Amino acid sequence: MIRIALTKGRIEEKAVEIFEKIGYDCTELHNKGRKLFFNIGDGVEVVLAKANDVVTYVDHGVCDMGVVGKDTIMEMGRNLYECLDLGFGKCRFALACKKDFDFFDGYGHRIVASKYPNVTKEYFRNRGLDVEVVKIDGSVELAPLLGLSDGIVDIVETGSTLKENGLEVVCDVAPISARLIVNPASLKLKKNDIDKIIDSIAQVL
Amino acid sequence: MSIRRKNIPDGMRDMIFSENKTEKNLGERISALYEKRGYGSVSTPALEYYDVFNFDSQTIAEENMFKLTDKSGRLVVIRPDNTTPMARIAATRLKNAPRPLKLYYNQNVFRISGDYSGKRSEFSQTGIEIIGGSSDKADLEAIVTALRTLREMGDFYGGGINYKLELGHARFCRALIDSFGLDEDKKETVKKYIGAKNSSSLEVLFGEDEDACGIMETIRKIPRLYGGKSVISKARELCRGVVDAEEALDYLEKVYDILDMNGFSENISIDLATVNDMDYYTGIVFRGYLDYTGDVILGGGRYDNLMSNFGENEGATGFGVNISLVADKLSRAVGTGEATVRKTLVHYGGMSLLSKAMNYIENSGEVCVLSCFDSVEEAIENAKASGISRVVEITDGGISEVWSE
Repeated sequence: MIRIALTKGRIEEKAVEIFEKIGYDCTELHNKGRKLFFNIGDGVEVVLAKANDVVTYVDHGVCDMGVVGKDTIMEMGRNLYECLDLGFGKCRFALACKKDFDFFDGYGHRIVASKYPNVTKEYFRNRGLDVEVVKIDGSVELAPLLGLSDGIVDIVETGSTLKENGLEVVCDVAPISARLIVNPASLKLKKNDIDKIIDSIAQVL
Repeated sequence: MSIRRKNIPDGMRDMIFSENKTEKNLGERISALYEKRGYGSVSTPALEYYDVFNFDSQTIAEENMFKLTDKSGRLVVIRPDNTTPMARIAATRLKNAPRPLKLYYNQNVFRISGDYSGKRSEFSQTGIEIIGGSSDKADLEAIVTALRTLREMGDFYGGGINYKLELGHARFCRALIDSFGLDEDKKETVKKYIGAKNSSSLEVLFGEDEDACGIMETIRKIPRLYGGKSVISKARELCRGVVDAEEALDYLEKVYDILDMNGFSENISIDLATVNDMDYYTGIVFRGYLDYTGDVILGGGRYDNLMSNFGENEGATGFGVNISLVADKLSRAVGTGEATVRKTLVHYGGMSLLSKAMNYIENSGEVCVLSCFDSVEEAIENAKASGISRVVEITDGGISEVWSE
């Protein structure tokens, strides 16, 4: 049996489309009710979870595979196989700050607010820059406007939210899209079953 | 009162009753296997100088070691790895002992795990090291012992548990990646993505670089180099002219064929995209997987350079098993399979009967608990509350059963 964790919401809808395209029966996923486990045939079972939990379940091997955004994988930094870029849910991590503010100018200390402190820290560490990262849970755009931080690192799709709030993108940090992740032990112990799923998905992308 | 007084640090664990016993028993059962094959039992101190673990190819990150200082203020760490101390002993106190030197250990290692990761920072590890000796046969011995270990762990849990030992070669990817002539940063990134089987990020990494077209043709195929023996011929096509990689494949093929010839191929597979292993490996590497564990539970390989950190140049091979992880996951998934033990509470009336009670306990085939109570009524109450199946009372008149379930 192969168990797949899907990230609830938009990613789930797109993932279900893919699984239908490769011949799985997703009727149960269209009429969820209060069920937690969904049988899609051919010995494959689906569970739905929040993005972070998809990574956790696959990391621990209680789910063999998962579909989750690259943003979550980057922030959680676990040891997983990231076998396919599913190509949907496309957006990017970007560094933004107030319009007309030169983030990289001068010698002053920089403070960056983000919902993704690990991604932020990693980005600046790679660039050899020492910035202070503040973790914010809600609308990160507020932090520079309130004067808490000099910039933000956040997920940007069109950039319109930023623009409305007088912020602009300084530079891109990393591209994001939905990924198929696989538990390393599962890939080795259930190779044939998992390879079959990966290959059929790769063909319809 | 400090809140911490009643708690233990993150990642640590109190092991109580069956949990403790199962883990200990499993470790001892695996140790017995090594003992039977003539490996010598070794234990090393929990505290070692940081310098022992601080060299170029060591991959336990500094921040993942528990550190403190000794009485002279020197930096010491709580044993983060077993192989390195074994190499230290082999190069120092056992320097003149006959080779091959075969050692085994069964002791805990300490590595700081991530917050809320559900992973332990202290775990029990058992393993072997073969230092010196002909490399082919030493490698083969390590591999068949690893296979035997995986089977034994399954048997401990009642058998029928699927296991796989995956072979790779430390030099294959290293040589292939080196042949691309990338700068250090890009090389590290490529290694990271290959280790994560992340083909799409590899594509992105080289996406705009037209010079890299040729390299990309090769790189994108590396993550899929896992499976049966056919992997080796696929890999050969990718590394034509890279002598070191070709040699690695030759050796891997030879080992695979010998294992196949001896009937081991059913539980063996190959993964050539292994780059995340400890950097000190120099030859064949292997990783063991067991159903329900969700992680690598056995890891090892040939490490011919590690000894040179201690001033000795000799080849070595070995592996370690994460006993705690197996015990945790399998006890949860399939149960410990241990029958509940029947216990007898032995109550004695007068103080002069203590030796008679002891005599009864020594000669009984059952687990006996000596009563600490003044009256037999209290003893019976205690037996009922603590799952003891019967109470016997020893009096001047003789021995009688006064209560049973």
